[in-house]
This record gives sequence, C-alpha cells and structure tokens, in this order.
Amino acid sequence: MNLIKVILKKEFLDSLRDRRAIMVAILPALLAPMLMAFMFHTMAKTNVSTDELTVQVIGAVNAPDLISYLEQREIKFEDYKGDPKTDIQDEKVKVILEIPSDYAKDFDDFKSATIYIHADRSMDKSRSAARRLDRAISVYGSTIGSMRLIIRGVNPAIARAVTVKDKDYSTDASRAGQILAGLQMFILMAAFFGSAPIAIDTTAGERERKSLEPLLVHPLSSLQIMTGKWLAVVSFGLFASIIAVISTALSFDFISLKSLGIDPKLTITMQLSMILLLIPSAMFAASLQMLTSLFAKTFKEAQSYLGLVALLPMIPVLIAMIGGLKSEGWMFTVPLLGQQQLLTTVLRGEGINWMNFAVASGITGLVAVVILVVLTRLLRSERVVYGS
Amino acid sequence: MIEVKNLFKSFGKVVAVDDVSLIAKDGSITGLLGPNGAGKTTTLRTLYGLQNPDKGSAFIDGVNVTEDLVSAAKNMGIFPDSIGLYDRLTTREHLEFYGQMHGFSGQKLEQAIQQTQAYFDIEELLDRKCKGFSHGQQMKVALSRALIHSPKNLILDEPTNGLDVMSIRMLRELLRKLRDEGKCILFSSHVMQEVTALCDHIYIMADGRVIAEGTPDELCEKAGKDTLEDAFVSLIGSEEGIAL
Repeated sequence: MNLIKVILKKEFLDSLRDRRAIMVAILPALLAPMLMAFMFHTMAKTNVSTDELTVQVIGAVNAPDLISYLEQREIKFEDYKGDPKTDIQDEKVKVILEIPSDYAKDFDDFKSATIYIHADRSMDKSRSAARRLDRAISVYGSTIGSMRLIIRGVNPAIARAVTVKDKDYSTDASRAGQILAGLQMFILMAAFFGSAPIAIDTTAGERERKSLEPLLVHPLSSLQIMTGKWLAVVSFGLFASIIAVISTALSFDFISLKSLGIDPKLTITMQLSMILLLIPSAMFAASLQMLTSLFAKTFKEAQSYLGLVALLPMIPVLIAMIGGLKSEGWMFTVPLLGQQQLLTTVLRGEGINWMNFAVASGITGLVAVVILVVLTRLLRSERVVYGS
Repeated sequence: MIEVKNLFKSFGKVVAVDDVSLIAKDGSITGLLGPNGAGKTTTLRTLYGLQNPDKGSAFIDGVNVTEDLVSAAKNMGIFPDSIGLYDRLTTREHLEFYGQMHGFSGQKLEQAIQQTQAYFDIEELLDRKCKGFSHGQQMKVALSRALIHSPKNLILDEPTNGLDVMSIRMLRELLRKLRDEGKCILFSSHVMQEVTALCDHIYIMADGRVIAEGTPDELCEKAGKDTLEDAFVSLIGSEEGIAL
C-alpha cells in the first residue's frame, strides 16, 4: 500500500508541474458547460422575442378594422407600392399583405372576404413573418365569425366541431433535462479530457523518455506500480468531472432560462449524486486510455488515439438523442451509457434509482478493474518495455 | 552473487544470446566485454527481469529472477541501458522516489541520499530540475539511483558512456571501494580500457556467446599474448565494435 502511495505521489508531483497539460485537461471541463449555458441563454432570448414585425401593405384603407386589430398585436404596417414578386424574391421585403378593393364589400355582404399574403416560404425570415400574420389574421377571422353567429342566435361552438386542448405533463425540471441533454456529453467527456494527458505521460510518455526501464527494476510488483499510476490518472479524470459539474451548476445559477419555461438549477444534492455516478466512469476512462496509450508506439501516436477515445461518450448521448431510445434496463449494464441514463434522471430532478446506480457503477467499475489487471500483466512485457 | 545459467534468447530469427552462463562473485568486479550487438545488454536485461529468457535462468543471491523478481530486485542496484530521468523533478526528488521504492523513509532516506550524493559530488545538482542536465550529470543521477539502497549486487550496462574523464575516474574509484566492501559488481562495456583497468574477472562475448573467460592473466595466457589488449583482439577475432 505504501509503495502504491510512493508511485501515486511521484505521478502527482510530476504531472502537476506540467502546467500546460493541466490546462488542456481542465479547460474543457470548465468552459464547455459555460458555453452551453450561454448558448441556451441566447436561444431562450430569441425564442420569445416579440420583435416588432413590419409588414408592407397594399390597400390598407380597404380594411381599417383588421389593420388596427393587427397593430394592437405588435404588427406595424407600411404602405407598399411595387411588384411584390420581384421584391420578395430579391429579399427586399419579407412579407406583403394585400387587401383587394372588394374586401370591404364582401365583408359587409357576409361573404368570405379574400386577402393575400405574399411571401417566399422557403426563406426562414419570410416564412416566420408570414406565419405570424396568418395566425393573427385567422384569430381575427374566427373572432368576427363567432360574433356573427352570436348575433344570429347561434352558438359559435357549432362551427367548431373539434377543439384541441393541450395537456402537457412535462414539468419545468423535466423540460430542463431535455435541454440539458447535450450537457451530459460534456460532463461525461470531462473525465476523458482530464485524464488523457497523464494517462499518456505515465505509459507511452514513460517509455518514450526511457524512464520505464529504470522504474521497473525496483522491487515493486507490477500491480503496485500500475495501481499507483492508475489512481493518479483516475484522480485527474475525477477532478475534471467535478469541475464540469460545478461549472454547470454555476453557469445555470447565473443565467435564467425562465423565458424557455424552464429553470434548471442544480442543488447540492444533485451535484453530489452526479459526482458519485461519475466516479466509475472516471475509472473506466483511466483504464481505457492507459490501455490505448500503452499500445501506442510513441507519445504522439497515443495522443491521436486518445483524441478518438475521448469521443466515446458521444455515442450513448447521440443514441439517446437521435435514436430516441427509451430508457431500458439493459442500458445500465453498458459503461458510459448507464452513466448517461443516470445523469439524465438527475438533471431532470428525478433523483437516482439506486438499483440502477448499483448496476451501472458495479459493471463500469468492474470493467475498469479488469482492464487494470490486463495493464498490470502488460507492464513488464517486452513489448511494452522495449517496444519489440 | 550473480549467476546466469545456460541462457538462450532470440528475437525472431536473430539469436541474441546463445547458451550464456556466467558467475559474478561477491567482493569482485566482473566485466562483460564485447562489441556492440554481442548480447551483453540482452543478458543483463534478463538479470533484472525485463526480458524473459527462452531457456535458462538468472539468479541474484540465489533468487531466481523469473520466479521472484521483487525479492531479487531488493538486492540489485541497476544502471540500465537507458538513463530515463523525469525532466520536471529535481535530483533530490528523484533520489527520494527511488529510495522510497526500496522502502526507505524519514531519517533513513535522508541518510541514503546524503551518502549517495557524496559518491559523485552532486550536491549542487540536488535541488535542480533534471531538465537541461548534461549527459554526464544525468549519468551521475542515474548511477546514484542504482546505489541509493546500498545494494549487495550492482549491475551496470555501459556505465562510462558519455562521462568525462574526471567522472570516469570517480566511478572507477567508487567501484573499487564497493568491491572492497564485499559487493558483487557486474558491468558491461565495449571499452577495453575500462575492463582492463577494473576487472578481476572478465567474460568476453561475441555473437551471443561467451567465447572466453578468466582473470586478465588467464586471458593473456589463453591467447598467448603479453597484453590484455592483444589478447582481446585475438580472442574476438576482430577489432570491430570494440573501443580502446
């Protein structure tokens, strides 16, 4: 045990002096959640912006009531003269409302009065402006229609054969969890980024600077040496994970997503549960990265391999996001996918299912330890020491 | 005592060590002389357990290296082929680390460091980080690493490579002193001078085999030559790969 500590201490001393490597290890964990939070914040702002919409109008005098109704709904009008088709195709104007001269007559005769909306619905801006105009006008139309029926002593409900009412059972917190799905990826990746530099340094790096051979001639078992190194690598990964969790929590303390109808806040309990479930994934990241680096011929080769390995946490997240896979029992038996599932429930504020937690942590931890045993076997092999 | 018995080792089709046996006795300096590629390093690597022999075995004080490396390593001081220092650690931190791996701590560790640094007069290097050390300075730290636990057996692979004249003299005196204290010293070299100046017993290797062994006098006699240098050349059959 003491000898493991000796190795661990040396790895810490050596790695902590490599400032640049530490920056590379910690910065993504710190910045990625902040960046995500900022992105959501901007999204939330644009989502609800009731920017004033200015619409070009032809024949506004034909329907003064409609125009004043729409003006109350933050739509401004400018009189327009010109060729609607070319101006819209040239993106000079977004949308044109045309009220023909027979509008007033048809309206008064209780005929369905026709108006035209000129737009290019393949263009984002034009389409969203036209939609807003559509909606506002159809509300106006049905309001007038209802009033006409009432005057005639008819219940307007008769004209509305089916009414759709939304019953949304998502809570604020569960909607937040949905939005935070991308965050899971960064939180899971933090361990990989955090432990990669030291994982390389203690394996491929040790061989490249030729310090592995002198190290191995000391009276320590391979298990003691490897465990010491492994614990150091796990520590760095776990540290980065903790940074990522705290950075996430702080980011959402500072910004408000209330405008998106959600208010994700990570309580201390949630943060602690997240860290708890990230321990086995940090172990897994360390084992996997050390194994990969040990097989790499050079430091550089190890770096390129680990660039790929760090993308591994993306797979479960992408499966969950794109595939829309339902959470099922077997998922908790797959390293990283299990952690991803658990992170989702924590982020949704649903708390941890301890049974699933035990399964996911147990299996992920076990895989990590099995790889550690393989690493131990490999450590004193000629292939690893002398690369032959 | 260091013992190698009927060692075989090949890499693919290349036979690196072909039935090598040798004994290095306590209180004596044993030299392994041979041109580059003679199998010296491979033989030594087997002794410190990093290369598994195809056949044969190696013993340190009677402990089979392949069977119980950790016990064997306790009584070994190794100066391997590679120096391998950590750039970001100071000399003192290196020595502490190596001492601790031998189970030293506290007062005992401090004493060991003081004693070792005095061998090579590296006090001024103690608190400097190893990055930027000259080759000679690195060699001194690496030699100190091998000696930190005052091992009974010392194995050195080409220990004088890159050392300046003063340091070589220092190393020679140290090795003699350690021999007189009763330690067993085995070192490899392709430099005749080294071997001639130091060794009590010499093994000459070429093409993975031991082609001659004995005290310097015995070797001269076998080769029928007056000087050891001539004896070497005649025994190895060529001067290639050997330095004066």
